[in-house]
Amino acid sequence: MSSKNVYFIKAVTNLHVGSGDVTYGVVDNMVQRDCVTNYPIINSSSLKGALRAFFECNAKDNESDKNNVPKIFGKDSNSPSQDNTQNGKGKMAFFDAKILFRPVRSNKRPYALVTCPQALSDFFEYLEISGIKEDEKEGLKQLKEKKLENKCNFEPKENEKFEEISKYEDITNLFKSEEITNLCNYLNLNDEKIIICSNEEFSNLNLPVIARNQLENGESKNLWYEEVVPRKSIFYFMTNCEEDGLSNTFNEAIKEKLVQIGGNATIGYGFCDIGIIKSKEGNNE
Amino acid sequence: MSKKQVESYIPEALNIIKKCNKVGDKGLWVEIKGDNDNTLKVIRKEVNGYLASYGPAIIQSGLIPAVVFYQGKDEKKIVNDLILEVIGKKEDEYNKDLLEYACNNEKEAKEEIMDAIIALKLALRTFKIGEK
Repeated sequence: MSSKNVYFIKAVTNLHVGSGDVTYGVVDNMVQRDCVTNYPIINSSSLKGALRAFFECNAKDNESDKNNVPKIFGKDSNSPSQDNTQNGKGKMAFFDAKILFRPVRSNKRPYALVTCPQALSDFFEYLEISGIKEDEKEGLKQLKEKKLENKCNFEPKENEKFEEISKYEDITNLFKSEEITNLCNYLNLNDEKIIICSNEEFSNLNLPVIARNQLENGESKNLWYEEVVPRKSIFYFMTNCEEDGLSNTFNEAIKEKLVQIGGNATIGYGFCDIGIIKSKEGNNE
Repeated sequence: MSKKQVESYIPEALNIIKKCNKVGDKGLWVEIKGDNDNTLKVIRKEVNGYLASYGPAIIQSGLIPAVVFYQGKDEKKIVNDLILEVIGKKEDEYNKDLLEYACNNEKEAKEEIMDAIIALKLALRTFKIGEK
């Protein structure tokens, strides 16, 4: 029996999950992007690696936790000390983490979270695959059937402007909608201000670029630019677990702890809060 | 960024760099003394730096503020001239400089300029870049 779960990742600090040096873009170090939509993502291999490192670090003093690491993530080929009779494959499969919300600055409040119909539709797809309960499905169905573009869950202030979203320079284009409030309640985003912009606007939103410098005796030796996914962004990912018990172990281990994902951990990048969104067991049989 | 567009700009960028005859403090090339006391032409190191920071400047400040910053009469202007040539608007009498072109065609200019910057950055790697 296997179970699929959907989890959210809330970036507590800026996140840089790099795409490597082979992308010769306008910025030196770019973040990973979806090959279809070009929205920022966290590749499943990067996510699994980060989670494995988190589990290995937390399981240092506990023998039972130590045994769970190869069960969940598979045998570590670099570690000869592990039991060779054990199957190398992990019992949990991790899928790419896709972006659901990202913050944009406002001139009247600190920020608002922005998403688009395509990102929401991808999210609903994961929820459906994971097998959400029927009553919840009904609520989401209503959301899916509505035209969500240009909606928000708050009353925009007079002359409010959202940086980088040209369409809302005139906020009369933005309508308050109950459906978005329902979505926020579903995702426990009660205090967040949410805007749904068009797919085009969402893909045109630039990620912040940070200049980094290597100094030697106060002299610049190497200046480079790196793209980051701003803190407060929210991703989601799905897992498929072949053993029920392991899924619970996984959920317990990540509960109320910060997991570091991506590069630059020592300068505080990539600390994320991970939590489960929805699950239903045995739905893929 | 359009990969196809960048690819099509690279041969153009290589040609433009080769043919560019601007040498000196405000030019693309700088002359240095070679091992046998001969004179060699190498790319001015600063131009490489200007190109590297042009894209982030557009992302952080917007297209027109970034183009204005590089448009002045100082040593940075060479970058705008190269970009205008790569995107093929140099011969157009209505677009005498990159700023004018960017102001009149903001939407398509942003994509074109970003792609031209990438092409120029890559093309420059094939030339010898001078030391400061």
